[in-house]
Amino acid sequence: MADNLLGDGEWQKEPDTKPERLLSLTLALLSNSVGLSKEELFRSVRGYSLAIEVGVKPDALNKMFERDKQSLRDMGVQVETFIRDSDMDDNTESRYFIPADTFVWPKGTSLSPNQLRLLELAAKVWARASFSAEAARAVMRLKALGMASEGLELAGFAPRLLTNEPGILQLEEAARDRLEVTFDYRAPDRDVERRVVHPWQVRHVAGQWLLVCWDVARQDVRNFMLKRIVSRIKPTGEQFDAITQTQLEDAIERLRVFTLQNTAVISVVPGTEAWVHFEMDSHAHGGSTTYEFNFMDVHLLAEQLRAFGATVTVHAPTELRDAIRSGLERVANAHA
Amino acid sequence: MPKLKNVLSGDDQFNFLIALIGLIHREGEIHLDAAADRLGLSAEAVRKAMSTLVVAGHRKPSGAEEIPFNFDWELFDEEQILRFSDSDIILDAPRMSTRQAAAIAAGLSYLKSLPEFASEGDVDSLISLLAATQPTASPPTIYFEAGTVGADVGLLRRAILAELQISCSYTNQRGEETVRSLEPFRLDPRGEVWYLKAYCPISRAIKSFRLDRMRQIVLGEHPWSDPAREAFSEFDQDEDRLYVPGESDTDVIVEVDPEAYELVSEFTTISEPNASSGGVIRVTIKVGHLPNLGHLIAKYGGAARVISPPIAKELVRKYALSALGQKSHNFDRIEDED
Repeated sequence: MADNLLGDGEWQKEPDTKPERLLSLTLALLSNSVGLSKEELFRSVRGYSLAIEVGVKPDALNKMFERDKQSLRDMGVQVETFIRDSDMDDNTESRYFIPADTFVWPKGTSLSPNQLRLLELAAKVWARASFSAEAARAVMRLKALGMASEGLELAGFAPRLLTNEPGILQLEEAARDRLEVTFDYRAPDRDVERRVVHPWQVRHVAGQWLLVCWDVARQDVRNFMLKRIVSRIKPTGEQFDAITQTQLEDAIERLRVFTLQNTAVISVVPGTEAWVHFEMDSHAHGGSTTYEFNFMDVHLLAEQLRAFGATVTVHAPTELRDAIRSGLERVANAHA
Repeated sequence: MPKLKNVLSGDDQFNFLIALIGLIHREGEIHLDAAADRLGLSAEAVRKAMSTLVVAGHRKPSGAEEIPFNFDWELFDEEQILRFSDSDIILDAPRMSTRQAAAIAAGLSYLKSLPEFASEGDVDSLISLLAATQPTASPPTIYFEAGTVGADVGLLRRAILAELQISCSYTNQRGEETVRSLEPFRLDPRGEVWYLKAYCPISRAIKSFRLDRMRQIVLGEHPWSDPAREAFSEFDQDEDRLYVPGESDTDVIVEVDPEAYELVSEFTTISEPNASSGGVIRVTIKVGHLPNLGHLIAKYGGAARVISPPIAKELVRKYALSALGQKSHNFDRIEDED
């Protein structure tokens, strides 16, 4: 019984009381300008007083309260704590409240139907992906702003973000909460290495999800491809200082400069799929079969080019040619 | 947005409750059905939420005085209209949580990277609005960098909205170029590669076509045909997989390292890699045309491996050897989706 009241456990058997309790708690904390102590909340929020009535122990009740506070914070409700001046000397308990201006949209916020259309589309981008639940909740709150979005044209267009990388949510969260994390990383042709990093930003570049971060052991900025993370991502318990926009921009600029330093030269058999893919059928190429371009990661490019089979020949760099060849050899061996 | 399922988690229910209260506050009064419609849930879900509101009042700290939820229950019972009865505690529309704002902001930055939205001033103003509502100002924690897309996207979008056929030349994987008539239905951007979902009159089905293989797109004068309209009306709008398995597909068991998870993401839910196994997972995938496996598997350079059937393994091996130049260049490759 107590488990059901705690809001997890076998909730199907008993009605879940958590949403109701969270709402009561929110209302109580919003409507009281001097804040409420925990004891006062236990008396005034029905979910807690009911729990006390059915014999939930103080320890369990405290845990329930702590979890509820965390749930509210996770959902963007800022529960704040203070100790009343008059209570300072007695070192008495904390009081809790929610500043009303942090709960609602800033005064005068309204959205045009076009803005709502864009926000809905932005949320839809995450369909089936890691952020879809958060995005759907966000849309519900947006709709509460009071516009109808009916009659808006979303048809004909279904942009979707690919997130095959299971760690994306966790890394974004760590970046937001400035939590140091550790994971095993497998760079191509190298052994798995354990990395300890300060995640700054999860960034989608050239079809790939990258983690832009500070590598603690190397004392330098590093970019990790999410798909090469081969373990769970664990927080170390350390927190790092907030970074500035400039620090982030510098890191991204370094990646851009790095990309410009990598040039590939390939030739393509005319009339093939690769020929069309690299737009060598267009007049701009003037009938040339050779194509030169910059790339971010040699192994990623090798992956792309392997799909064109023998219709693409690599002239430079050598390591690209080697990466394609050794990859194909591994494939042939693995399927012998 | 699709209708959300009516089975909501506790956090989802709370989110719904505060959104509902905010909506009623903004509207003054609103009919149950209209509220349900606006929030994308069923009328039944709203009714259930109302029953939660009945009990969600709280008491003064003294414990004596009950503060009910200030709601016009009579009006609700009689006319199913939602309205607050006084303004003692009124919650305006709740702002987003940081995580919600991050998800939406990343979606917006993605939209901004598409030519369709690049010039939308509203996208920038929304990104600033989201940033302004967050407690701390810091660089975005998730971001989508703009890529490059062909110029034909606008033309295809026009064809879709005007429900017109198009013609184009299409080069398949064997390098065979054909001129085709297609009835475009939806654009599916997937990172660097864009796909067009269109009705193909030859195969009489909806198929995905890669934009980077399409050339000389011409807007036709003919509207969508009846068979195409029928196919579109039966198509599940929420279906966002590029490849929808058919009955005649072959089951192929593959083993993938994390580097090749994308190969199986449409067939299984991927959880975080388990370090003891190096993240290797085994998944059964559906393949419409087996020879496609060659390039699909070989591109990963060993990070994806076919386990069975033997014929599929053999096809992949042949592809790899052929690409290595150890066999004839005329390896067996057949187009995938079209």
